Amino acid sequence: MTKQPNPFLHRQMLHDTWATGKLIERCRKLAPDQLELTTPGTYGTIRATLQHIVSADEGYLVRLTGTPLHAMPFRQTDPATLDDIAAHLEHVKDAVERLFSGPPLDAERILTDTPLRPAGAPRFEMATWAPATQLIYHGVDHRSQIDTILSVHGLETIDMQVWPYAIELGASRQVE
Amino acid sequence: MPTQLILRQLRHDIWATERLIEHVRRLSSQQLQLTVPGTYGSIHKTLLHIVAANERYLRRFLPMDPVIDEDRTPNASLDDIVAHLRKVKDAVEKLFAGEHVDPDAVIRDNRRRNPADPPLLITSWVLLNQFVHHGSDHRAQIGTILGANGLPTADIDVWAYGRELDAVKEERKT
Repeated sequence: MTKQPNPFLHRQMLHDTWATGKLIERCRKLAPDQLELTTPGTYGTIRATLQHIVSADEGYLVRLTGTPLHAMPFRQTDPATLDDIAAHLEHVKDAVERLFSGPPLDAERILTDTPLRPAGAPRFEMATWAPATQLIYHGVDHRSQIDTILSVHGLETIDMQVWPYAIELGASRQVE
Repeated sequence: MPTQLILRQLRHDIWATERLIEHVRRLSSQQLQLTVPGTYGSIHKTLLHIVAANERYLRRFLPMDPVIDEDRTPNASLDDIVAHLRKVKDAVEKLFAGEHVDPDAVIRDNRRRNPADPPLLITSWVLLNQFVHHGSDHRAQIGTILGANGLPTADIDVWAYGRELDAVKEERKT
């Protein structure tokens, strides 16, 4: 993967799905009522926030690839278990691989629409860098909120920064 | 040469921190000390930490001295933090103005916060991706502190940034 185009973004998206996957696994140890915990100033409950991260990821990737990831969009309002969210995270991972398997992404290319736009809704035009950057920003933002919720309620948090991911890959290491 | 995606991300990151600092300037000095459990610390301390870390990431690529520091300059004012954020902004532009930044270049880092620790070998992409991650993570915490204390939050996501640059546009019906 060393000579792939868009190397920073590709690695960011791989880190992003790694971090969300780790967080879902962490949250599997919570009781159902703990998944409904929240704290003021955050998006909502732990479960709703995880669903929001993954459904938004799908939305950004549909816009970036120009292709639906599956027949029915995964909406924030759909009733979803952690298994459902994890299943959709796999769609996200597949879409990330598809996104980077083609020609290099041109950051400035204008995306004129998304297949997910509801009929009659306004059309947005945007440079490719906007949804790509927002995907990364959005995931960090909301995982941070879940981390705060866990801490506020005295529950164990996990380290989802780039450092542990890089150490896992041998991309950051201490000289012996 | 077209703008690299990572440079767009770093510019958004710096813009978001700038916006957030401007947003909290209207807070009283007591409000700047607000926090909530589960976050890094007070609003002020977190802003200082974001910019100090930005400088630490960048000094692995190019000279950044003197840097702001959570331990040595814990009482840095918002103006001080903004002054260092300007240095961060300049350094990012300088970094990308020259040769292509090789994401796989390995950097030997001898300047550990604990001098007794052995050097680190860090691949470039790790530092720049962590830069982006770290800022978003801690700005989210400040958003939570503001929200939890009933204070208005700042709109600092990429959509707001993209609209400002006219890179995100809603179709106008005629």
